[in-house]
Amino acid sequence: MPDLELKALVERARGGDDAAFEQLYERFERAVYGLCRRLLTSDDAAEDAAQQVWLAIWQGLSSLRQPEAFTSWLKQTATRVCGRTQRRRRWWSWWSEVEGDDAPDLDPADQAPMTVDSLARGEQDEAVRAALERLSPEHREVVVLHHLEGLGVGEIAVTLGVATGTVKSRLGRARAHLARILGPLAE
Amino acid sequence: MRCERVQTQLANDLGAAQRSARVAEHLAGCAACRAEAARLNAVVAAVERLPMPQVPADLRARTFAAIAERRQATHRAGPVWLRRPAFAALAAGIAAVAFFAGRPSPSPMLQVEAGSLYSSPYAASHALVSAGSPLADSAALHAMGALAEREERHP
Repeated sequence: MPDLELKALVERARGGDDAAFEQLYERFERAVYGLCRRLLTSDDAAEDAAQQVWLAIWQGLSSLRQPEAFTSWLKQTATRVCGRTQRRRRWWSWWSEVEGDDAPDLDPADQAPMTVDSLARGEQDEAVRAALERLSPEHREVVVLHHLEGLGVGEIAVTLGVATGTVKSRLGRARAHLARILGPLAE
Repeated sequence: MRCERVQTQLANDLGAAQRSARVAEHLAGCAACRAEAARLNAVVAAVERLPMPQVPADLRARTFAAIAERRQATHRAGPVWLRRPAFAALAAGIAAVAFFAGRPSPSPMLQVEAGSLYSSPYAASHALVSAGSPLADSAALHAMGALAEREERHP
């Protein structure tokens, strides 16, 4: 969709045009769900987060001052919603651990590398996706935003509200950690 | 350049490090750093070719149902402008002004009446003490005034 067309659509949706909002949804549904699914570690959490993102977009659209900034606003909103979801899940996971439930291991630093050297393409993708899910939320966030969403280090810093140096060091540690988890695939 | 520094640069900003002439020069002569760069490049390539996750079939219906529900709740709560923080602040300001403006202050008229017409110490002190309640004060002053007139006519 050309930028001018997108801008006009955003302006119409901002003015209360439901059909225009539905078109925006159609246009970005996959991008929003994809970002949420990659930032979070379960389908259910990603679906809930995607719904919250669209509710936030629907509610905040009338106050969006620059329609041309819609795409980056959408990504920022999705990243923030997923960050909140992740923090809640982490808190709940910690609480479940205290209560004695089987909580997922959120500190994967000492886990053994995966054996993926002889896997087919689909299986390799699955191994990489699983490796991403074994990263800490902060590391997964920067890898997804940089390598899958194509955001620059500066944009990520603004989105997450951290310094660019922090983004760089998280990216470095995340890539090194992924290389350790993936083992032979990364050789 | 030392291996440690090259590998730190590769880890922190893989693309920029590989564009650096000094890093390229080091990589050309260092097998260990070349292997590290290749390993990180393989990781990045594996991540970047991940397919986009499939959207659940019912996500759209559930999302628009949630929006419709929120829209109904919003209508029940009144117009948007009534719920904005600026309106809430304005309403609070008006309420505060109305509260302080409505607080009775001693009326100059009653003070004059208390000083001139009803010069007895009791009447004067009562008028001043009860100045916070103009209605009660007026009634008291009128009653005392009527009493004083009767005393003048029938001493």
